[in-house]
Amino acid sequence: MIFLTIGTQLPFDRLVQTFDEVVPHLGNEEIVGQTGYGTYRPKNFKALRIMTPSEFNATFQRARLVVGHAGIGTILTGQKFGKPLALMARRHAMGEHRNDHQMATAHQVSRMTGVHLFETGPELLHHCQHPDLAAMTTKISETRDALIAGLRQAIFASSGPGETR
Amino acid sequence: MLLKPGLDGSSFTVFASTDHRISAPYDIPHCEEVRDYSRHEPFSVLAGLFETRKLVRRIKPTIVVTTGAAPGLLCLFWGRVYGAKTVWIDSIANAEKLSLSGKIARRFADHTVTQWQHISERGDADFWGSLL
Repeated sequence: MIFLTIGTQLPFDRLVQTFDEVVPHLGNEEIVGQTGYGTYRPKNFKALRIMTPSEFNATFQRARLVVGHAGIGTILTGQKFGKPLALMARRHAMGEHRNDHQMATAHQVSRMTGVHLFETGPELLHHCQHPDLAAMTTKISETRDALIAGLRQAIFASSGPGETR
Repeated sequence: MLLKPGLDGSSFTVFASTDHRISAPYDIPHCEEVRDYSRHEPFSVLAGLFETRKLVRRIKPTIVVTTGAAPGLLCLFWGRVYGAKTVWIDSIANAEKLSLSGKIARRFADHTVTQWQHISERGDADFWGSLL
């Protein structure tokens, strides 16, 4: 099963349409879509506009590949469940987000195992048909442990609050 | 929610969100919901200012930790006003520069933290680590 998710905040018609055009090349594979409140309606697969967080997690866990926007929620969930992600970044110039931060995020996460960026239908099809597309690693990163340790240090240290500036 | 292990050990933790369903998969006994808005909605922000003040006065937190955005910033502000230790952790989505909310938080929070080392090198915020 392939799961398409565009996140909860903003529509992303370019992603939905790109994926919709790829679906006919995927044979009988099950598709689950969460496509938000855009104007483009997919022709080749059924889609929900929104999902509850529990539905979202269950669908994510069941998918063999998740196609999505370069949102942090999608990336963290991909890491949690160890899935391969095919991601398209939202572009400010195309009215897809308030700024270009997803381009920056995509650039930063592109070197992570299991994150596969795409801009076009053929690139997405390549990821969908890849026989052993790398998945994200579920090992909690050392940097996450460091962040949590820093937080504990800051809030449980007996000395008074330090100033960052 | 992934930061929760950083809070374990405090006498009790209250989780406030703009969508209470987010906490469903986790073991969080006490959840609060607040309205959602951005700085482009001045009337909602004003209403949120009162809502978060009421929430903070009721809960009386000793520590406020938030990743934003606008509602979290207001909770942090009231936390500071009512004497809590305040920590702003900028969302990992801000990979290029500190968010606008983060820049405001920096003016009053005890700790302002970014999840990207290259941002901390500009001196805007501390870097401890990252969720990714």
